[in-house]
Amino acid sequence: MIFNEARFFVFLAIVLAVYWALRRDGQRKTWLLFTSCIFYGAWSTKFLALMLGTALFDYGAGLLLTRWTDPRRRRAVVATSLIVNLGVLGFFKYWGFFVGAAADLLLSLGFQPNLPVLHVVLPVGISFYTFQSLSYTLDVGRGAIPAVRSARDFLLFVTFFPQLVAGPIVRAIDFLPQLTSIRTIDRVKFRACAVLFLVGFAKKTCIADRVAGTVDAVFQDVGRHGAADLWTAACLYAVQIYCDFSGYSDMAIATAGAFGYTLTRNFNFPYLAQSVTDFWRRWHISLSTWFRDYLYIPLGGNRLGTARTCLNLALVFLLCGLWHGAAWTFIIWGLWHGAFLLIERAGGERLLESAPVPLRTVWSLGAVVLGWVWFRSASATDAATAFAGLFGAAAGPAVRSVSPVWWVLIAALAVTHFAASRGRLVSARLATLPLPSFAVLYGVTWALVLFCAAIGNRAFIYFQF
Amino acid sequence: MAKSFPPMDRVLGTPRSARPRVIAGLLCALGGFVVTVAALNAVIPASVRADADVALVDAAWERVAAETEVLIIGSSRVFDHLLPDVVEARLAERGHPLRCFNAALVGSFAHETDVRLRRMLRVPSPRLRFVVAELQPWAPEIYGGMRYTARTIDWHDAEATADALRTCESAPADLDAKFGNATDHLGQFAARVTGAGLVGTVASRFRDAWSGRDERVIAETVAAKSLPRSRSASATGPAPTTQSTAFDAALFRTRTAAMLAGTLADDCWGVFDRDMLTRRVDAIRAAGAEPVHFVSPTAYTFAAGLSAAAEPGMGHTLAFNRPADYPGLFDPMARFDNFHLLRPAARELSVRVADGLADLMDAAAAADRKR
Repeated sequence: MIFNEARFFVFLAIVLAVYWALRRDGQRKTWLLFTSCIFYGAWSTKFLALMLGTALFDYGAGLLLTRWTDPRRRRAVVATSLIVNLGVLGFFKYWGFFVGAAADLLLSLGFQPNLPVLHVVLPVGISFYTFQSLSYTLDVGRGAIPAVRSARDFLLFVTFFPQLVAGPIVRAIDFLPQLTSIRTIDRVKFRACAVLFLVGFAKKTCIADRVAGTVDAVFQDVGRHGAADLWTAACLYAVQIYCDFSGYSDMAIATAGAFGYTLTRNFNFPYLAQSVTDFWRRWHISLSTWFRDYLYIPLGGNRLGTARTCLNLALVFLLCGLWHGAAWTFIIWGLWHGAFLLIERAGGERLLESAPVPLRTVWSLGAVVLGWVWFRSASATDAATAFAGLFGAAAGPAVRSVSPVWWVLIAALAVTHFAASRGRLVSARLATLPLPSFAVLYGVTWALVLFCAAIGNRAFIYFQF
Repeated sequence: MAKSFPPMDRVLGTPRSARPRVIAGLLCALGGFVVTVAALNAVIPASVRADADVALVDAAWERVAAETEVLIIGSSRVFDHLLPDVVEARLAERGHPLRCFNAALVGSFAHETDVRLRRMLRVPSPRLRFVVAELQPWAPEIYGGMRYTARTIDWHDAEATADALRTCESAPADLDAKFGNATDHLGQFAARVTGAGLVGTVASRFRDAWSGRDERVIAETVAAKSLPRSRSASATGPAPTTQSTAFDAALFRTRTAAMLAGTLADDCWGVFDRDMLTRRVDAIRAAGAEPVHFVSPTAYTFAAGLSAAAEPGMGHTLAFNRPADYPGLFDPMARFDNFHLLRPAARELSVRVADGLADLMDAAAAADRKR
């Protein structure tokens, strides 16, 4: 079930109506847990069992950490949780990739490898819920939060359906305290949630899905297209992935908000970043801060000298790339960003600070858009072909099939992005509108958004991660 | 805790929990939605809302309906196999100079064919004598690439959706599949009612009309008396000339052999609904024509469908799924794939269909003379 299909709307209406009709907070949480399981189980009951299994393991680990005070035993519990969670993630997500890479390496060394080949199905959202669950064990392990006593609360934290399959990655430290206080309907900002949900839906269906066909056509056969097509497609993909992912995040935050829960912000106008470092403070914030807090800082961060900082950054971005998918293109994409961060850390950022704003934007946008070429390409070879084409070094004659009219859309979206960052799109007047006027306006806008939407239930890009 | 997003307090207000206010709000939103959808539906004419291919065939039909005597409709198994010029030439040879129009569309399954036939029969066609409609099962499923296309959304009117839901219910499948298929049809219906995604269709229709493409294709369609296949598939013109690389000739031979031995199961992709067939027959008769059920030469028995069509009052049947009677049409070398013929075989089949129609007319004339 995905947020842009009709049955989700029916599901959400029922879940929401029953949720607020229930009188006790405990009943509501049980209902949310039950419906979250249905939400995920509608895709696969087997993988629902897997998710609940790993979540219960972490719940048990939390209880042990509460009981045991011996640091060695506590470290062992945390280590076991890490091994189990990352082991499950590694098996489902990376087995095929690493076996394939090992086979290629052995073959290149003259061996005839006979490695076991398993066609493993990737459970939807495994990277998200694994990181979420891990944050709990790590936080309890270091004493940042107490362990949860209620298994129901913990399972709800992991399976909460608005953010289950594509984030934002909710930290235990942010979400669990919300489960211990009572949600009341008076505190819910339904208008804000409704508007945010519609904005997210519009981003996904009216923009991301509308440009997807053109992007797919170019990236399916990059060798056929010339520089103009490739630049247009690369920029359109930047638009697509932002509108797709931030659209999902908006809908997730709005849905959670309608139940009275607050999720962390995941995007902050990333394409207005003034450097690549700044971009990572604005893009997929829940993931970048996760890596910062649970990997970069424990590795020493920038406290252990320049060489170690560079190594830490490279490692974090290598893993960040790998988190997105088991493919060389994602690894290179991660390292690409890591390299830009290193350049900025080595003095580039100081230079940028003295440069005019347009130059800074060109620098960061250029790095990001070209980075998306790695991210979107089907293989590293395709990406290399695309780069050759982008810079006019294509091998053969190229066709021009992408309409330049797309640049009008890109320019319009750039202006909208900027205006939205200044708070000029959602007028403060909405807050003061009488309810009937607001509701009519909302209904009219929904009809217009649906009219402009590209329908067909195209899945969200980040579902595959 | 990290800062919440959106900055709700700053931007928007908080509604107080008051049930009447919530209900009033929902009703107002629904009202705004319904009025806007109705306004959009009223402003955008049906011809612009339709899929480009369907609109072009419909436009061509409006031009030729008054003088057409044989309307042919169905899927690619009809589009590719019944060549109007060949049928007309053979009918003329047999002393029946009738004019044909092939309105079949690639990928058109029975539910869509019913809707299109219903709409086409609304166009006055006083000379219409025969409607050759493909007899194929009513499929519960919407096939892959056809979901949420302008064409599929367009045929999901209330009546067709109700029929499709009935098919979902009656077709043998597990509950999951039935539910999935039913929600799929409801989704298309909802998209049709709300005008979801129409902006893309409307934009492409305006672009085609603006560039004069529509007129060119309609002229081509009227001249060829069917839509050129190039608009909907890779080959040019009806009936391809080279065999599909995906053709599994061995499987086709096995199925054909089983048909000849009488051991092939009635394993088609849907159900033959007697009521829907009756409605189709009634609609054709109401337009003053005689129904002719056409079964293309495929390795499927369609036993249930043929037995329903053979009932009294259901019209005539021209069934070519009989390898013993038509071995040439079942020769793998004559075929594009399991379902379609290459052009020489399509010409042969067109002649046989024309002969079938001529036989019907001759028999009717003989009966009249006897009376």
